[in-house]
Amino acid sequence: MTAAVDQQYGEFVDLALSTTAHTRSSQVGPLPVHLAGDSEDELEQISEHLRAGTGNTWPPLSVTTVDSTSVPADCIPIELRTAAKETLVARGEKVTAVANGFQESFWMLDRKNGHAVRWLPDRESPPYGEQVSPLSLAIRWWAGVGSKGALIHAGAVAGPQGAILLVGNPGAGKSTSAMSCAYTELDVLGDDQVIIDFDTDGQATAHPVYKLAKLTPRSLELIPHLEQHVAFEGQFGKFLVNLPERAPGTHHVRAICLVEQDQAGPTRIESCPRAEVLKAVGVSTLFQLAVAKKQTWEATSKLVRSAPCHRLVVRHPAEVPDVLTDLLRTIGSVTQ
Amino acid sequence: MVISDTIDGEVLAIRSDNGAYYSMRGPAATAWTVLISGSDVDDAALAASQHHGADQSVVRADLATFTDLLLAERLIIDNAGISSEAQIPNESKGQPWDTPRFEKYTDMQDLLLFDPIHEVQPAGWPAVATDQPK
Repeated sequence: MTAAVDQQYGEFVDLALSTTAHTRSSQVGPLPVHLAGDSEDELEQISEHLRAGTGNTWPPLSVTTVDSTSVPADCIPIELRTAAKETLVARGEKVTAVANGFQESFWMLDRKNGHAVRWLPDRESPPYGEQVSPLSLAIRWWAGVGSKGALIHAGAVAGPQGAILLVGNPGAGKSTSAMSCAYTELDVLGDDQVIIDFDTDGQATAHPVYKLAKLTPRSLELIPHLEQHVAFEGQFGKFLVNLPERAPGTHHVRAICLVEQDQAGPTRIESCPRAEVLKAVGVSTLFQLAVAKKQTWEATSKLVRSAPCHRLVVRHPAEVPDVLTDLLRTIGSVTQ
Repeated sequence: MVISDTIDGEVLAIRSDNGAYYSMRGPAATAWTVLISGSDVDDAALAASQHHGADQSVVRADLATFTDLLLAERLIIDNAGISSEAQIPNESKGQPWDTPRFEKYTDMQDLLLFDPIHEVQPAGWPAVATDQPK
């Protein structure tokens, strides 16, 4: 039964590979990414949105990107349900196929060879998600294969002592809290997506993925110093903001904060049960996944057990950088 | 697909197909743990009653009711045919037995419905697979 997926994958990939003439390599966190495609401009656009990482610890991910000019839409073996905005997933013995109607993209994922083929209707006008967070589906999938780590739904900021992850349900304020630290002494590794992996001793490390962050108009009002860094206005009324360029580094996860908003009292750190943190980051990460759900959950669960968990109660985002800097200093003084 | 995890004595069970997730503490965490281990209901009741120091017949009746609730929520399927040793959370050892209850959360359903994901049959794509938990 599952051989049908693998057979159609073979035919589709043969067609896709026959059209690719250009290559480019990037490094995202621990992940080497080798891009191939028939448009040099497209490969450059993808690469310029990926934030350079350090290390080279994961097996490489190869991504071949094509569009309907070289691989016609009728070669796509699963219907793209763009009107219904539904994602369809078919699993073969070696290959998983994903037709993402919401992002208007089709993916073939070869587990054995670490090869992903991305098909878009028109590379000249990529779907919004692939424009601002390119390859996120493939990175999520490849992180899960072999349980290397995970691309999780969390913001992350870092100082000399390490990284703090900011988690919470959509609308909790994690992106706003993370972005309030942009262009301060803290580094913003991501507003709502970050790669995590683990040392052999179980220590988690956070890695940035993208150079752009998304902010609502309300959040931008609350963090006015970011207005000069807006790159463009995106979908759903959000603004895309350039994250500051910092030298790549290794950011061990020193704390995980569940973000909540409360106008009564100053912005502060409180104790928080791990189960609440796991609910927030694990569940919201899981529901964004079309593939690698079990592996991603396991990595997220391991993450929550690997670092102290707190509640970050936010009165105003402007107060967040000082509170997180103090938390990192406290952690640093304890670990020294 | 159902994923479950136990952290600090609390069980989280998540249905990735519809966005619902469940929290179980104390006796409910015990009940979940013994039931998904695949033990028959008598063995499950014995293990849970010993863990909580409770009357085995009361625990057995509560487990039967709780099983029906879990089946109704499609968190478990009947007769899964697997058996393993139940790792009951230590946090609840000796805690008084009470009728097992779960807390159900549906606040993530909007996120899931924003971009619903369906598994499709390997043969004859794109027929949408029947909505059965695994």
